[in-house]
Amino acid sequence: MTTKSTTMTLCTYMGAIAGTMMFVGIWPIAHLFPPLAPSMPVEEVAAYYRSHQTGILVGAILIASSSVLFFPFLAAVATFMKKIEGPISPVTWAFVMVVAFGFVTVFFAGLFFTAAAYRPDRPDAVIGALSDIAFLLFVMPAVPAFVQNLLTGFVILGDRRAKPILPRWLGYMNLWTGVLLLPGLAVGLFKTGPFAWNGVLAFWMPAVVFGIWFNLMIFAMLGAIKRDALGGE
Amino acid sequence: MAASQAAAARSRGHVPGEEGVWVFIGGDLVVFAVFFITYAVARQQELALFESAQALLNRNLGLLNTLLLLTSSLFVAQSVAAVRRGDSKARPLLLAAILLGSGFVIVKIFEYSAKIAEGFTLNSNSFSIYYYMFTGIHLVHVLIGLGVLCFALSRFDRNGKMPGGVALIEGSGAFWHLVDLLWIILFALLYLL
Repeated sequence: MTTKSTTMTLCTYMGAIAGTMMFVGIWPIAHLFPPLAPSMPVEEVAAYYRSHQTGILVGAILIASSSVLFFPFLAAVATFMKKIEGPISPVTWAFVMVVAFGFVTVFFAGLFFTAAAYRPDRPDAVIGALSDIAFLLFVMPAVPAFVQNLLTGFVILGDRRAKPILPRWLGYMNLWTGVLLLPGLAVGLFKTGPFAWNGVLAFWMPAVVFGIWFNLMIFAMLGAIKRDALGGE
Repeated sequence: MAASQAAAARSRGHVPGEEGVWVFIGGDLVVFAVFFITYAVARQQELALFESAQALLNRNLGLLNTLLLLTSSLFVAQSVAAVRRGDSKARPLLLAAILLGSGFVIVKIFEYSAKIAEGFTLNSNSFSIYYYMFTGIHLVHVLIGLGVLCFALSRFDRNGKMPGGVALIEGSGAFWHLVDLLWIILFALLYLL
């Protein structure tokens, strides 16, 4: 194994670490997964942050840190895309810009969870507003995620090589994931029902699909690194 | 000779389009199955409200759209067959399918604006959320499908043939049939049931 493929492997695995950190932070530590119901009265939201203060503050550190660790993984994806596109690579650049702001929202979600839990003596309404911002930052970035997946799928399917750098099914998988994440964009319109930010279709389905997509990306990228798809030419 | 080989390949179990398309189609079917189950559960919980709200939908426009999509699908299927034969009728057939599909979009716009003018909007009741979100997400599929069909249309050469384009037209056709199939279920669930 060459040094370059070792670096690529490390970057790819960094995605798995980031995903795990974010999940551990928001679920067993902060107890903010599944999200608090958008219809929950503001006094109850504030009480929740006061009674879970330490967990939320520690979980938020993991969430904010995970945001940074997603980038080596995304850089590895971009490296594959650049290889496929060649010297003229507008779609890869678009991908790099979209993920840069799409994944930074995870960092801000961590900051707003911290701010909401930081001073328990704050009025209920303030804690409630900070909590809303944090959850919206978590779910609404479906739009950059949608575009990011579309761009990835577009590049993978545009590969004209006899032996494609990344498998073509991964391209279709990306398009599918993108379409599925889209209901997240409408969460601002609802407080209850399937399209609210804790609903079946705006939260659970995208969350599950995102998990599947993430694991398949890592799996396919490790496979491509192993057969040295980036070498040659 | 080539035709008989192709026929033999088909009888062995030919997958239309490239296999990857079916990852997308299968995935989409799973998602819509989740949609339909969610809807069925919600409808059971508020049966009276759903029934009275459903009665307000314009069944004629729904039926018109069903006919438009079904006919469009038929034209796509004819076009796929024509491309396989190397017949130059494939292009006009595909164009007709695209026009019928565009008709669906136009009818949908009229239907939405009439509903909004009546005061039946996104958050009017639990049914309206499903109505707008499901038909809206389906409409996104129609638009993507039209884009795919237009792309396929651009691939015909000057003689109206698409050499080596069987997989492309089959894949596009398969997606268009999916759009059609989903609409038939949506139409039955939202307008008729």
